Amino acid sequence: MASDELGSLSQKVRKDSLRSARVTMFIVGVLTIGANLFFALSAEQMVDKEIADMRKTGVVFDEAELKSLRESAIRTTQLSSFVFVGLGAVFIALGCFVYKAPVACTVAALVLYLGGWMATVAISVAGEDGANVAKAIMSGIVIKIIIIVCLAKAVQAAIAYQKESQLLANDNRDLAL
Amino acid sequence: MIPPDETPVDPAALPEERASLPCWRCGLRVDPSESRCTHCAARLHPQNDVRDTKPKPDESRQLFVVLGGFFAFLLTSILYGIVANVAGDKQPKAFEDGLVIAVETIDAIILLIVWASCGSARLPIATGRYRLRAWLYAGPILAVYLTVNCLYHDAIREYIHIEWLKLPDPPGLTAMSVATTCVQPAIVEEFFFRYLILGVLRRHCGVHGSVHISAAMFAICHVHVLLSMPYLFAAGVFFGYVRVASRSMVLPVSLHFLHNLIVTWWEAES
Repeated sequence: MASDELGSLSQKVRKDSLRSARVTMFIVGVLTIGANLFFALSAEQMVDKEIADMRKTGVVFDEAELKSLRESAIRTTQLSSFVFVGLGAVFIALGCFVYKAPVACTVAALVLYLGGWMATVAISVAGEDGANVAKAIMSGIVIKIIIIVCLAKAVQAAIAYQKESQLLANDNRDLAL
Repeated sequence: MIPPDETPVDPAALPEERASLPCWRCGLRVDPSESRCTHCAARLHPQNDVRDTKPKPDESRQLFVVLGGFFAFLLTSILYGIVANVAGDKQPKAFEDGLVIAVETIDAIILLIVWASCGSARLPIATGRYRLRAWLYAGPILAVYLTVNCLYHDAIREYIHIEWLKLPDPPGLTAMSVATTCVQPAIVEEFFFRYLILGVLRRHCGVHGSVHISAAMFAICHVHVLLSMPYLFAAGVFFGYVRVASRSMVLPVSLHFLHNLIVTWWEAES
């Protein structure tokens, strides 16, 4: 029937939007996991390089203090990296369940993406005494805004998709009765 | 679609503007006596019923309004973190107090704007049994949470020694600290996260989904205390379930106030 075709056409458009949201979540998840696993595994080398760079600029360390500082820096890097690996896994899980609970998954993905971005800014700002605030916020901003717009559109599509799915399910139940 | 136990309204007997109503799918006017829309042939639903004249809030708009409010809260939090970090420890106490008051005033303004734009976000009425359970169990569970809070933060202080990632110094138990860390957060945060966000999300995501997403938002908005975020998520889940079970704001606001007061007192003492 023409009516059902029209209804299914609009559902198809919303489903396409959800599909692109799912792809976005998978890409964000995989990249987050990959990058942070790399950081976690190379934490020691990164901290040593940082210390070597500071030594080159003439900074003199108390060796006993340096040892505990180095260990703490490595632990902190690994801790934050593993937290972000977990966040990446959550993105992938949200992508898997996006058709089952469209609004919950898309809203959660948008919120977590914004939260992850702001947490990165907070870490950068705290480490740099506020000198690199603009750099931390602006790094990769175009891609970040594209992802946020994509997720916001997915939320909009998810609301309509979920509403129509519920109405169709109610209709089918009525017809079955 | 009109419920079978009610008599359908004769559209001819209605004023002209009420004799047809917009279809829920295509938005074009349709005779309410039809079972399907004459334009897109969607099955007609109770919202097309001429007797249902009460305006319904636009749920999609409400969701975007609360998400906008969340983003504003997040920006305030990150700006607070930046300013506090740039200013460092050299600033006088009056500057710190002024900064906290400014941030909390902005948060309260955001709450009022979002509430005014969003309207009511009430939850369905709870049964007496659930309310009673909420009031009975909330106290002991809060005690467990407070213990976990102390253990968690002690472990963090033991584990993380990096100066720039340390937890903020406890403010001490003064009238100012009670107002800014106990009273204001208990009211503003509970009404924003547990009343508005939870109430709006509940219409789309179910009870558990809305409680967990609102708790995640609550934790993320405390991005200036990064290391406390996991605990804040757990606390947000607790306050969310208290809100859902009690269907009242009195209990979550009181618990949040009590929680912050005990933590402030404990940190001041230790």
